[in-house]
Amino acid sequence: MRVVTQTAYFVRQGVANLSRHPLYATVGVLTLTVSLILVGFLGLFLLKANTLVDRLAGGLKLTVYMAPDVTRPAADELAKVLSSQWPEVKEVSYHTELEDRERNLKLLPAELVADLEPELVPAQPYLEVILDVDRLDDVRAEALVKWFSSLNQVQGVDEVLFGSQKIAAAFSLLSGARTLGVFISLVIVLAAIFFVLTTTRLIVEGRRREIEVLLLVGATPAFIRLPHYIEGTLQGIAAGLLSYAVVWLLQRHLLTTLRGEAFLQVPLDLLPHGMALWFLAGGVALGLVGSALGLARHLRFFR
Amino acid sequence: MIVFSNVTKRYPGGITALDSLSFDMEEGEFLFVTGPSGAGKSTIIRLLLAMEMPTDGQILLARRNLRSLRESSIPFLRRNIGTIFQDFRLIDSRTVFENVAVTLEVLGLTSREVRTRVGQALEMFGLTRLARHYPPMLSGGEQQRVAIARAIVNDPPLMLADEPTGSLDPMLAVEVMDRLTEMHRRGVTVLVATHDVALMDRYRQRCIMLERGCRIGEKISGGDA
Repeated sequence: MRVVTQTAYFVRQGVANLSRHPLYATVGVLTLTVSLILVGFLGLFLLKANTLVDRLAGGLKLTVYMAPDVTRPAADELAKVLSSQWPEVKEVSYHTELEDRERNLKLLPAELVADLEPELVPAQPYLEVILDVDRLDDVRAEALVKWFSSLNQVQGVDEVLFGSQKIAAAFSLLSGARTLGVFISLVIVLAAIFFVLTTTRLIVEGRRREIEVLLLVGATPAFIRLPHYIEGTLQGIAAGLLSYAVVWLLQRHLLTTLRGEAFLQVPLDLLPHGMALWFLAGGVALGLVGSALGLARHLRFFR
Repeated sequence: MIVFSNVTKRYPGGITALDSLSFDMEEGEFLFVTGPSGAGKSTIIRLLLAMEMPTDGQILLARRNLRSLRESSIPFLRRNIGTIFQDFRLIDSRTVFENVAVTLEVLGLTSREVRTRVGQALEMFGLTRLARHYPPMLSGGEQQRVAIARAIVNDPPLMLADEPTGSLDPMLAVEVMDRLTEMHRRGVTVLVATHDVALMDRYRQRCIMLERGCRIGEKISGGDA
């Protein structure tokens, strides 16, 4: 019974604290919201950057053209060597001369194909090598490019085609984006935590008197903490929803603008609504951490 | 009820607030502690509330040695002490009702019990009509009455008052002292720290005189109580 009474009291006080200190409550929610928006945009940036890099890197493949007289077992043997020597090689597939011709025909304009004898279109068997971008870094990419260049001298290989510059650029971009992403993440997350902590401390400082009185009448630290935690949680929920709404609306506005730009080939999807849960969780976590750390210094019995 | 045995309290910087102070106080007794500013009156109250620990000596409160009190026991000690301060120590963001109720809420009483007992306390001090008011809306006398109502609402066996009339006009000061005397008559042990000798002399009670942290004398204050 007493637990129920106390719990009901804590919830009532947590809610009442918000109405007793509307200014503090507003500042608290806004602080959490701004922090979550910063972190939200960071997440969005990283998500989109990853998609962009994946897209760019997803096109990374090599074509090893075989001599027209090469046998299928010889091609399979080379495919096996490629797969076993390079863990970065995700997939090797053999394509016949016929398949190559079909592919080339598709690349030609329709009006030209209509008047063209298919046999006149050059074609030869080839191995298509798809790289696993998750396993590659810029150093390994360079070594791979060198090794594949040397295949030109191997018997049975006619020519190796790959965009070495494209591979190098992609992995340089990927590496740079990862480093920058980690750095920006750290800065923004630290700034958000500092922002929340400073504001919470100021808010709790303004309520020092109240905490002192509660301690004097015999309140335990837990008795003082729990309503603050509930208050922090409620502020976190409000901030989570508010920041999600702001990020979603801004993203929608941004993407609508960018969609007009033909050169942008990035998939322009909106934040899924399930992300709101992450914002809520982030808001609640920040609210709780802020409440706990802000209160800690005031819950001392002795001076 | 209270035993101070050679209690010394020194603050960083070499300030000695109490210097080997000894006195005792029986259960149900009324005691004035008087002296000029800096005599150590407030320090006695702060030590009894375990807001500070003595540098040396022993303090027994209801046979418990405060020096060996665990920090987790302090809230339970304070629940048995009603405290009144010169600056009232009310929570400005809470109504009169909520300020008084807080003493009972820490005890885990139900809302109904809290409502009943706070209602009685407010009625006793003529504060019922002010129940929904906030402290800044009240006069000094009204605020002190709220502070006293908060101090007695849970029927503590010990009442500590630190300059309870310091910021009140003479009429209100007498009213507050009358309330404390009334509580004493009901069996509550009352310790009042005050420098107001004129007011003290209106009541015939035991009085300890301090100066610079030392006990310089003891008397029965004169008066017609």
